[in-house]
Amino acid sequence: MKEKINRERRVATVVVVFFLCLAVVCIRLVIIQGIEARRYKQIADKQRFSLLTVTPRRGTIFDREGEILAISEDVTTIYATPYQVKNASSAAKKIARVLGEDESDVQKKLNSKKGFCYIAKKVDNRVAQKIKKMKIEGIGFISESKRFYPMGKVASQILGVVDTDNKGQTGLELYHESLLGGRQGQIAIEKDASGLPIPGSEKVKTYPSDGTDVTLTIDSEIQSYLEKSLESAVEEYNAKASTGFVMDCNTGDILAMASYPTFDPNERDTLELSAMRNRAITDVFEPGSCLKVLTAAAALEEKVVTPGTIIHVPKELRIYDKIFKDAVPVGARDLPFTEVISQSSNVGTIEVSQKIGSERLYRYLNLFGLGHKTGVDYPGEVRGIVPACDDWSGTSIATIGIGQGVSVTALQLGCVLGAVANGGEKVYPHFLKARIKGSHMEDCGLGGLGEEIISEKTAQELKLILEKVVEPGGTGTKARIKFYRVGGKTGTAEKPNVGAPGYSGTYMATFAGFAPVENPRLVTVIVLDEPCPIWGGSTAAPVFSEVMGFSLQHLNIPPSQNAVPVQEEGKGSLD
Amino acid sequence: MRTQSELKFEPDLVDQSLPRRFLKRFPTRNIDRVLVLSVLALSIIGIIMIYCATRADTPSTYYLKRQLVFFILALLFMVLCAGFDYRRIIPYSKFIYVATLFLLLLTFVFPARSGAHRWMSIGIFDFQPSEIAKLVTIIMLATFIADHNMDMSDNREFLKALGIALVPMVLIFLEPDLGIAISIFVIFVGMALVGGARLKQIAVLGLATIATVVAGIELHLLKGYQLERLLVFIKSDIDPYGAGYNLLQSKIAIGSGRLFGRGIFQGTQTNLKFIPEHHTDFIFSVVGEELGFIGAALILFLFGLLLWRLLRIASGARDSFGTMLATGVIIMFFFQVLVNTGMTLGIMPVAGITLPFLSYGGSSLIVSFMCVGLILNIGMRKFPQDVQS
Repeated sequence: MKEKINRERRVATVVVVFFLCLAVVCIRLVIIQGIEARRYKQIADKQRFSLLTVTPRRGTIFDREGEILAISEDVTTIYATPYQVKNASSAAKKIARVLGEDESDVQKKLNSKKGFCYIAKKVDNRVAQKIKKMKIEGIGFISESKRFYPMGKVASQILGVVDTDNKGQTGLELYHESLLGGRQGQIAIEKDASGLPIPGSEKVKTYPSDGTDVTLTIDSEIQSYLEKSLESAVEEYNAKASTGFVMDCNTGDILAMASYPTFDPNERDTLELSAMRNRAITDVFEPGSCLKVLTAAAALEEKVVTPGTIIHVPKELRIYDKIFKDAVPVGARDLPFTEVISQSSNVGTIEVSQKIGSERLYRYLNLFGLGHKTGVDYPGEVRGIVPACDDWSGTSIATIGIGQGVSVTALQLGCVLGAVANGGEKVYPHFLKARIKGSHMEDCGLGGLGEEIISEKTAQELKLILEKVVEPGGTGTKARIKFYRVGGKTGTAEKPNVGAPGYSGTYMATFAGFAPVENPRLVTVIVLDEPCPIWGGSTAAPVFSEVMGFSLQHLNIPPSQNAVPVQEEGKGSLD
Repeated sequence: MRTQSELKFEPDLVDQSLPRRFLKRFPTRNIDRVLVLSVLALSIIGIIMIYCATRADTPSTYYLKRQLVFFILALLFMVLCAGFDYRRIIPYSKFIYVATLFLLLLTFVFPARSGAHRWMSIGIFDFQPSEIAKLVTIIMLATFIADHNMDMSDNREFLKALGIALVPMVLIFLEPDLGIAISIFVIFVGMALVGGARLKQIAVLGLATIATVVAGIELHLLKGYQLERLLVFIKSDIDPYGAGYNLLQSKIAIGSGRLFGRGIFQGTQTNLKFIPEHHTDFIFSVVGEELGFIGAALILFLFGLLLWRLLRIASGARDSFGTMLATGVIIMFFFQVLVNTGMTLGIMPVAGITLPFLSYGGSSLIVSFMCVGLILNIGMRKFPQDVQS
């Protein structure tokens, strides 16, 4: 009897264990399907879907006349799933013939043991279409977009380049990425356990939104003329490099801006960093005599002098341990202020700037925007160096007054000239003119004119002084243009040593000017790096004359009524 | 044998026509309808889920049609197994047992498939003797234990019973089919416990088993994949692309089913073949994904119902043979359900054990229904007046 009870208890235990175990399974089921379900669902989706990004069409870039500067073309990338290719050698033969590639190269790719390999990236759609028609198993196609610059080198430094994912890398492509790039779309593709996509399973997660088409302030004809002139200047004067730009002084529109050496953005394999630099914005130099424009503006505005004020110019001027001389030493003389500037007398200018005083001069440097970014819509702009007034030494008032010991970009210098030319208002330069919305243009509101720096009277006086620079007896006679009255200033500045005090014995030659004097429209700055001869009046001025002359005519700007005809002269005066 | 004396047969039945004789021997009023309904429900859900799992194959109805044929065959076998007094098996137990051992040996003659000698090809159907060996071992053990008055406390008798289980176990292990070999071992332990074995004996058996397994690993008798699969359930998340792949994919499938499931034919884990063996060992994952918690819980409920009815019959059997036979079958079903569902949920090792009534496979389905038939048989004849006497 005792044994019977024992057995019953044993059976009961077994039964209880059974149902306990079943309860454990149930609890586990609740955990997996209830508590952890979200996580498992996510893993399931993750391993099942792969997201493809759809690159949106990148916005087209037009110049101000509607010429295309940069456009995105539809291209096709061809890839292979090698193990699906049945007859590698015949497939390789067919593909290689269309692509114009080596048959054995293609065959090597098709025979590789990989699950995926590129056959050709970004091929013209018509070429890809030929291969598509062959219907070779295991060959796939991806529609992509490729950036193309129809004018090649023209405006290449301004436009910049994009990377393989069509994202802006440099230049305006980078600066206006958010506008041009649009928004990427995503497509989810379902795959089975072996990773093969399931046809018809594509689901659009986010739709791509195309980039915006934009119009630049650039005029491609002036641009290409400027580029040619800069290139030939480098050859003619054996210079290291050159840069320059043409700007509308009443709107801040940059009509052309270029540097040499330059590059062709369509040939991506041979890009050289130095050739991609937009030197007018990213490189600084000592402006030298060109800065006398600013000193003169300060002096006139502060009524330190009038254009007719006679300045006694000694042979040399000693300030502390430094002796200042004019570029071509002559004896002591009396010069009206106008001629101090037009002959670019260092000693005379220093005497005037001493009268202005360091604090006032420093204020005008800042007012004209030196040491500050111009705010141009271009990446990598530098602000240049203007030492703080408190840091000035005893000689600073002299050196800075004649453009030494400060550094500026060509664009900053152009803005100084621009402000003088337009009657005293600060110029804000810019590249982006408008975005194109459907069939109409929408102004982007960039750039334009700002606060008054100097009075209109001062500006008018200074313009006439600067006109004297290009007239006989001035330093910039070679900058003159037929039928137009021109004003400007030459500059020849010794380049400071890189990373060491002192000067290197090499020179930057500059001419910054505007035209027509009676109603200024354009400002042009030309900078040559180490030309031979070194003088801005002999090297940069003729380039200015060519570029400005072409631009004025191209823009149908009416000639000046009382322009002095250009006389053939032997050589330009010295700085 | 002593038990033979209990059997009494009516000589006048010989004169009756076959159908009438059959009906008379078939006391339908004591059939456990709940039991029958639950296994029918399980099998029908199984057939639908197999179609869900395999309709992406070509031809899409291959597995569906075959499983339907197996189902009909299995029903016939169930009726057959219920159709005679179960005690008439007892004198033939030894013969059936030896014949089955012979069949197990015979599998080694047939060419191996995926490295295993598990199947015998009979025309279009591949017979798996190890499945029937489970049932036959239960019958043989039940006969032996009942024959010894349900008293396995004697060491000699215990060892003899162990021997009965061990011979088919070793043969099946060598096929190799680890899952069924382990099933038979568990069946033996359960039947021995109910059959009066002392706990001390079971404890010694347990220690000996551990020693054997350790020795087996040391001597490399276990195949590498078997060991890996047995151990991997502990850390399937760590090695998701290696040995833990199946487990992780199964958990992902069940988890992503959530409460109501993704809907029939909608399971991506199933359709996209992320779950391997989804129509056989991992059919529960398919249920979990496509029918959700509701479906999985229904399956577990039906199994619970089945076990409860089986236990009722086992405890109400009129003789020790019936009790032991039912006990063996209960343990077999229970162990398979527990290990299979546990495996798909990541709490049991991947041992290659099918889910009775649901997994695809003719041998498994037919043997499961034969077991049900025998238990129904025991239940139908628990009263003396239902036996032709």
